[in-house]
Amino acid sequence: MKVKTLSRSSDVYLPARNCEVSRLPRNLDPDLHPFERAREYTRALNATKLERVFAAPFVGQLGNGHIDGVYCIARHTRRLNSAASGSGDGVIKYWDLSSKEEVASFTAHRGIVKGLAVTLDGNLLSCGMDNTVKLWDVMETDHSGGPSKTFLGSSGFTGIDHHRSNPIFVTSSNAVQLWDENRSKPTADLSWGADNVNTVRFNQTEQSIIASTGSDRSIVIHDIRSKAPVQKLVTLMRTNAVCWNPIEAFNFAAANEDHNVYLYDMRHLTRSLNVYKDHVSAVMDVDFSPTGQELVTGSYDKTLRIYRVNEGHSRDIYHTKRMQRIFCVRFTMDARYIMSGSDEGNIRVWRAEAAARSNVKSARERSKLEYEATLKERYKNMPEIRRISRHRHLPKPIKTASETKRIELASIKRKEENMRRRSKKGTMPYAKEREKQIIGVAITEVENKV
Amino acid sequence: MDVVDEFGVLVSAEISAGGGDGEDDSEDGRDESDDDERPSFSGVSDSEGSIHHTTATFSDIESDFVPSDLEEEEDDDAIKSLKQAIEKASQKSEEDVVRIKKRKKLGLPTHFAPIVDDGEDIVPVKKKVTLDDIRAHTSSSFGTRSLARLDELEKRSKGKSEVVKSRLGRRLEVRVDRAAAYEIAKEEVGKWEDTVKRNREAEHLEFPLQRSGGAATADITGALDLDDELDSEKLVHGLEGREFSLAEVIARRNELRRMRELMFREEMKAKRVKKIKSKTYRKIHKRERERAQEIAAQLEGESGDEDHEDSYGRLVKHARERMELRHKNTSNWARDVKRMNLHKSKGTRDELEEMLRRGEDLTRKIEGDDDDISGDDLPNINDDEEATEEASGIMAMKFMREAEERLRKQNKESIDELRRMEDGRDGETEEDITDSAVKIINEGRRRYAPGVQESKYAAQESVEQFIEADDAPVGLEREMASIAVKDADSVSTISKTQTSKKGEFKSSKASNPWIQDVDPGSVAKGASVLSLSKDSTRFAKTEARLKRSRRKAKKAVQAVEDGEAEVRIDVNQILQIRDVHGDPDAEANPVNGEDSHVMMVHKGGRRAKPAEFQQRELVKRAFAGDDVVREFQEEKQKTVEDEGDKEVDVTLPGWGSWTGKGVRKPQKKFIQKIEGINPKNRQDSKLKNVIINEKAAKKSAKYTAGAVPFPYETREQYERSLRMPIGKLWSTQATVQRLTKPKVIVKPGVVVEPLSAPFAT
Repeated sequence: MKVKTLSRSSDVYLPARNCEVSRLPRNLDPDLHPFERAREYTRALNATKLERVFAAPFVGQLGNGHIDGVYCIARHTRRLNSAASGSGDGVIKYWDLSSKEEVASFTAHRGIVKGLAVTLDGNLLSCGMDNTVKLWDVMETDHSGGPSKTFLGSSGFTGIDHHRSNPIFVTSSNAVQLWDENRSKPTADLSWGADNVNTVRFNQTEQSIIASTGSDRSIVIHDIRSKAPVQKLVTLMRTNAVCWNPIEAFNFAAANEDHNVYLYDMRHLTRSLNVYKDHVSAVMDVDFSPTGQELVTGSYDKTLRIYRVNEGHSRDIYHTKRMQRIFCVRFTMDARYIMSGSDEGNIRVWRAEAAARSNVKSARERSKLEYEATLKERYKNMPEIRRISRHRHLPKPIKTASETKRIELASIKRKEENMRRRSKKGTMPYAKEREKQIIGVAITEVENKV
Repeated sequence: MDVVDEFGVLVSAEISAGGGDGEDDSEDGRDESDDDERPSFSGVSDSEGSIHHTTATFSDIESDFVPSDLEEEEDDDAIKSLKQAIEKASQKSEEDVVRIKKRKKLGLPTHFAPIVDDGEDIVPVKKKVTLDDIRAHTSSSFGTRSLARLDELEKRSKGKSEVVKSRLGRRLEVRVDRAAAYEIAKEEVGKWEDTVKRNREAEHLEFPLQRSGGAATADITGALDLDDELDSEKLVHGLEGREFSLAEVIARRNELRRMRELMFREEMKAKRVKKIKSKTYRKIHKRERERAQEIAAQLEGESGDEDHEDSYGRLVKHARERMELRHKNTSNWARDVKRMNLHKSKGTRDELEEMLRRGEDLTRKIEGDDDDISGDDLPNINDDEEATEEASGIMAMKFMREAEERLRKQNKESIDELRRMEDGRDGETEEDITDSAVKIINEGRRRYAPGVQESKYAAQESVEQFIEADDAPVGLEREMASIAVKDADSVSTISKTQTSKKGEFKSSKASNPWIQDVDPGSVAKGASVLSLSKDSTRFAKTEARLKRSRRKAKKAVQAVEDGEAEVRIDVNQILQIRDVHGDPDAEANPVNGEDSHVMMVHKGGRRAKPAEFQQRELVKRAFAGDDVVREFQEEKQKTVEDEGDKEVDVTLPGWGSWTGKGVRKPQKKFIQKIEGINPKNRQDSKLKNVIINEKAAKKSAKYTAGAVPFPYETREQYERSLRMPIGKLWSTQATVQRLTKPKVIVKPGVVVEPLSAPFAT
C-alpha cells in the first residue's frame, strides 16, 4: 500500500528574505467565501458605528483666547501652523497652532478689529473701525512701537483681503477701495451703490476678481483690471460673507442672513447652483476647504456645520456647551482642521473629519480605513447605516428651533399650496428653491449679449 | 436731439437704477419727492426706493455736478460731458425755467427735469439755458468746489459758443462699460471651465494639485536650450564663464550624441511612413488620375478627333470590364468573403454591395439602354390588348410583368365603372360587390378584403346570432332578421366607400389590440335610456332590446365611418373559444345579448376593416380560454384565506390514546389558532380588482434601501453597484487597492494652495 502524503515546498509560504513579510496564500474561490454581501454590509455597519464612537471633533482651544469676542481670523497662506485673530477690544493675537499657544498679543486698533489679511511676505494687515489699516510684522513679538505702516481711510473699515500674488489689497468700508501696499492712498474706488459694504474677498484662482457684499443686500463682483464693479446681485436678505472656491474659479459661496448658504456661479447670477440648508439662524461666515470639496459655516445659532459642496444638507454639526455665536470660521491650509472664533472670545480648533486621526498609520491600518470608507460609501443608503451615520446629539435649543422651523416652513408651503389650488391655473407658479432668494441682477444676460 | 433718443436714455437710466444703483443718491440735500418714482424690483427696500428716476437731462447734469471722491480724476472728459449737460439743459423751455424760479422763491424743491405727466412722453424742449441759469439754481449743497469748477469752465468756454453734440448719459455710459467689463471677466473666468470639469470628473484628486515650486531637477543638460546647443557659436557663448568637470563634459557629449541619434531615427521613420499609403488613398488618387485623363481626352476630342486609338482602348477596357465576371459574386475575393462570413462586417458588406451594383449596372448596359423603360410603357397601358409586346431586361422578369398586368386590370376596371355610371346604373348591387371583391382578391399579394363569401356569411351569421340571442316571439323574428340584414347592408355600403378610399387607409388605426381601452360612453348608456321594469310586457322588452341593438349597430357603423372602431378588450367579458373552421351553428353563444352587435358589426364590417378583423381574431386566439376574471377572484380568495386566521390541528398522533381498563376518555384534539389578518381589515377589502400583499417581508426591509438613491436612475443600476464585493477575500490585491482608493487624497502636512493660472497637473 502506497501512502500519498501532502507535500508543500517551503518556497511557497516562506519569505525569500528575512525582512519580507510571509505571504498569506488566499483562495479566491467564491464557494469558500459565501454571503459576501451580507458580510460586507455588516462590516459597513460596524465601521459606521465605530466612526460615531471615535468621533471627537473638538481638538482644543488656542491659548486662553481673547477677552472680548473674536470677530476675525486669518491663516497664514504658506505656513500651516500660524494663525492670527482679532477681537472686539482691538487686540490681535498670533497663534502657534501646533502648540496651541499664543505667540504675540498687542492692541492694534481702537475699537473692534474687523478684518485680517496676510500679505505676500507673510505679514499681517489689520483693519478696524478706527478708520485705519495697519501693517504688522509677524516676526516681531513686541509691537509697542506701533505698526510698520498705517493706511488712513475716511471711515471705519469692515473687511480686508489681500491679493494672492501682487502687493495690493482691497478694503470695504462705505466704499470698496483698492490699495497698493506702497502707497498711502487708495488707488481705485470700486464701489457700486451700497452705503456700507460688509465684507470683501479676493478670488484666489482668478486673481483679478473681487466679491463684496453690501448692506443693501447686494453681492457685487468687481474686476481690478477694469477697476470697476461689473455685476451686482440683490437678494432678499443680507449676505454676511462670501468665499470663493479655491479650485473652481467662478464659483463662490455666500452666507446669508436667511439661515442658508448659497453657491453661485459668477457668470450666471440669476440662479444659485446649490442651497446649503440646516442652520436655524443667520450664517455669519463661510469658508471653503482648500480642496474645494467642502465648506464650513459658522452661524449665529452657536453651531458650526460642514457641508459637502454637491449636497444640500450638512455632513456634520459641531457645537459645545460654552461656545457662543460664531462670527468667523476658517479651514487650515491642509484642509484637516477648522478654526472658529466666537462671541465669548475663544478660538476653537476642530477636526474637519470628526473620526479621523492624524497620526502616522501603518500600511495595514491605512488600507483597512480605506476599505471601511469605501464600504460606508457603498452601503450608505441602507436605512440602518444612514440612521446611524446621520445621528447627532443636538443642543436642545437647536433641536427645538429646527423643529419649529420645519413646522413653520411646512405650514407656509401648505398655505401656498392651498392658495395655488384655489387660484386660477398658472397665476401662482412654483418658486424655484434656488432662485427664491434672488431679487435681480444689474446686468442681465440678454442685455449683455446685445 | 430727438425725442426717441431722449426716451431711450430715460429708459435705460431706469434700468440701471433697477440694479440698485444709488451712486448719486443722498448726495444733495434736495427733496426728490417731485420725481417720477417707479420701483424697479418689487422687493427692493426703502433705501433703494429712494432712487430717483429723472430724465436723462437731469441725471446728466446731476451726475456731473456731484462732488465725488473721484473728482480729481475728472479731466477734459468731464468738462466735455459738463458742456453737453449744459447744452442739454439749455434746451429747456424758458417757461420751465421761470417755473423753477418761482418754486425757488416759494421755497419749494426744484429740479431741472421737465414735468413729466405720465411715464412715457417727454416734453421736447427747445430753448437754451445759459450757464448763469444753472448756477442760479444750484443749491448751496452742491459744494463750492464744483462751483469753482463751473467758473473756470465759463472762463474757458467764453467766446466760443458752438453747440457740442450730445453724448449718452453718464449713467448709461458707465452701465455699458460695466456690461462690457463683466463680459470680459466672464470670459476670463470661463477659461477655467475645462479644468473644473476635469477635476469634477476625476476619479481621484490628489492635493496639492499643482507643484508649488518650479522644476526641481535641474541637470546640466537642461541648463541650456537644445536649439542653442546645436549652434556652436551660441554654445561657446552659453558655456562662457562656466567651469565644467571632465565627467560633465562627457555626459554632455553623450547626451548630444543620443539626441542626434534619436533625431536621425525619427527622420528615417518619417520617410518610411511617408511611403506607406492606405488603400483608400490609392483608390482616390487613381480615380482622380482617371478623371483627369478623361477630361484631357474630352478636350482633345473636342479640339479634334485625335488620339482615337486611346479612346478606342478605353472603350475596349470598359467593354472588357462589362463582360468579365469581375463584378459578379464569382471573384476570388467575393468567394472568400462569402466563405469566411466576412460579409457580416459592414465595410466588407458595403464593398460587396457596391461591386454587385456595379455588376448590375453593367448588365443593364449590356442588355440595352435603361433610360427608355418607363417613358414608352405608359401609353401602352391604356389600350388593353396591345400590352403583349416583347419586353427586355428587367421588364422581362416575371414580377414586373405581373405588376404591369395588375395595372392594366385596374385601368380596365375603372373604365368599366365609368361606363356603367354613364349607363345610369348605380352599381351597388350584390353582384357588383361580389365582382369587386373577387377582383380585389386577385389583386397583388397583400389582401385587405376577404372574398364576398365571407361577407355573405357575416350577414347570415349575424341574423342567426340575433335569433339565438333573443328568443323573441316568432312574429318578431322576421323583423329582426330584416333589420340585421339591413344593418349588414349598410355596413357593407360603408365598407364599399371605404374600399374606394383605400389610399387613405391608415395602418396606424389598426393599433395595438393588446391595449385595453374601455369606452365609458358605451358603458354608461344602455340602461339609462330605456328603463324597463319587470312588469313590462315581453313584447316591449324585446322591442326595447331590439332598439338598443339597432342603436348600437348604428353607433358602430358611425365608428366605422369615423375610422375609429378599434378592437377593445372588455375586461368583464370572457371570450369563448370558437372553432374557426367549424360551421357557424356550432359557435358558442356570446355571454349576453349585448355583445352580439359587436360581432355582427365586425363581421359586417369585415371588408371595411380587414386588418381590424385580423387583430380581433388574434386577440381571440391569444386569450383563448383565459378566464382572467374568475382566476383573479379565485386567487384573491385564496390569498385572503391564506393570510386570514387559521386553525391547525397539533394533536400528536397516538399521544394519549391508551387502551385498556379504567382509561379516561382521550382528550379532544389540540387545535391551535393562528391569528392572521381579518378579511375585513385587509387593505384591499374594498378594492375589487386589487390584491395587496399583507405580509411584506419586514425582516429584509432592514437590508434594502427605501428608494433608488440619487445618482442611480433605476433599481437595476443600484443593484449592480452593490453586486461585486470589494474585500480582499473576493478580489485580488490590486483590485482591492484600486477600488478602495479614496477620491480625495490630501498629502499630510502640506499647504494646499488654490489653483493658479497655467494649470497643469
